[in-house]
Amino acid sequence: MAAYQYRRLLPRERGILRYAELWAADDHLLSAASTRLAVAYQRFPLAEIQAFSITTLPHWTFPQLAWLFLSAALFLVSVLAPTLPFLQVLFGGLAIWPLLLAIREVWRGPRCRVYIHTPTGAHLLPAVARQARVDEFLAIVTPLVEGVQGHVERMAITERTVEHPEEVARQQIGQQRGLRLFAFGALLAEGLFYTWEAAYPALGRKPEVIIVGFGVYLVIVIIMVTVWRQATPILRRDRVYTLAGAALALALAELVFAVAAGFIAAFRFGAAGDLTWITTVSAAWRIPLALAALTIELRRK
Amino acid sequence: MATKPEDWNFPGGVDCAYCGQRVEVRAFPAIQQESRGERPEAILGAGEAGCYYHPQNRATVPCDACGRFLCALCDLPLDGQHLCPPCVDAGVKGNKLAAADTSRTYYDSVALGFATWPMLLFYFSLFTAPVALYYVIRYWKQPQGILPRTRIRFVLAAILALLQLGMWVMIAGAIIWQMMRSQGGAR
Repeated sequence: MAAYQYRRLLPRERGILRYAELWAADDHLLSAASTRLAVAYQRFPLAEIQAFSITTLPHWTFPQLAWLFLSAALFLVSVLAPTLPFLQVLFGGLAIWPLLLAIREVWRGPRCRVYIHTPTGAHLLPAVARQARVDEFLAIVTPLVEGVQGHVERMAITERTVEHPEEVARQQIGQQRGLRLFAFGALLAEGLFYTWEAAYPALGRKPEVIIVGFGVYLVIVIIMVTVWRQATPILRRDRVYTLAGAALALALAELVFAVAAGFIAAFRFGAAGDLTWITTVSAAWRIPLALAALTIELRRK
Repeated sequence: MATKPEDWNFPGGVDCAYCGQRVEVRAFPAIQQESRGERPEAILGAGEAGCYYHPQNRATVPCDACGRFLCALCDLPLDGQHLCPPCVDAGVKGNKLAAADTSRTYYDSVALGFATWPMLLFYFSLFTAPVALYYVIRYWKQPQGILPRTRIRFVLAAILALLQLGMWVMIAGAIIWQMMRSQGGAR
């Protein structure tokens, strides 16, 4: 079997269970994607590479927020186990790791997708997943390709599209309406739930009520984040997303404060801290915001 | 691509008209080339050699593996060689073609996994340490892949597996010695 001499072009792009690498031989690029137990190769002859397309993804993505919520959930579990100090320490320690992963995710900057276009189609390059690495990638790979194919200047205008971007955005706003109605309605219901709980503090202090309420809250926030993540920058300028985004930001702040207050109270007084005043204040702001978003969505044609 | 051609090779990219995200396209001359298939030529005279698989087509190259004459249709250039379809098929099955090598299993990582993860619950190492040693011995000489890779994982797996087996031998020896002592004391 003919053996090629490969040289690494970029540092390894690491995930939790996977990593990806980009190598080059004399006449082709090699993309290697590994699950740490196996590796899959893709070869791209330099003479056949038509283009690279790089798309920047939204900065706040689901993985970042999922790690934050997992960390918050583990902290809350440690708070709700006041009679078992060992579990408090265990879950409190476990909560640190997803928090560090979330911080690492934000530190590494926005994600991107790089596709390599060949006559056989467009292929994702997993080795370039961060916008911060794109310039380095292009600086290394472009000379390799142009060394084989030559350089081409910016294309002459061949055809223009006539679709108006605002019209396209309006069509997109009309889609996924059911999901947004569900998410905004759930956010409103969650705010009302915590307000009702504040009116009956004895009921609100029961651990099972707190756990169920937190679970519902977590699902609502994850749905909201998913809806937000699917929204494009054009959609996010829409009023309903601005209002819902403000409600979501308050909900996130409430969660962080509540977990931190409960964690501190548990270690100081040996019992779960009183969280109702935090949720009441936050719910007082969240309810009108969610109500306004829901009203706008219902009145939209 | 939804990005217009006049926005290709634009430094820094442009905002997509549909979603607003930043898109950068770096195009190369190959994008302007039309892909065309090779058409075989017919034999014109009696002195011309014909393709082994298509006798009516003129042979252009011999197969570098089996030597059969091939027309433009049957010629498959791979790894710097001209091969016929059956030789390509045989090369893929025999793992002799680098271009057909699309995946590999990292047996060294598998062995290291068997030697490390069961230590979380020590008792499993009684069964997994021999498995790790098996992988080390069985796949030591197998090519690791087309990319540079050392055998350090095999070495670590072997060391850990031997340490675990040694510990189990000591535990068994201690149990047997204790049993013999208690039997001797009972007499």
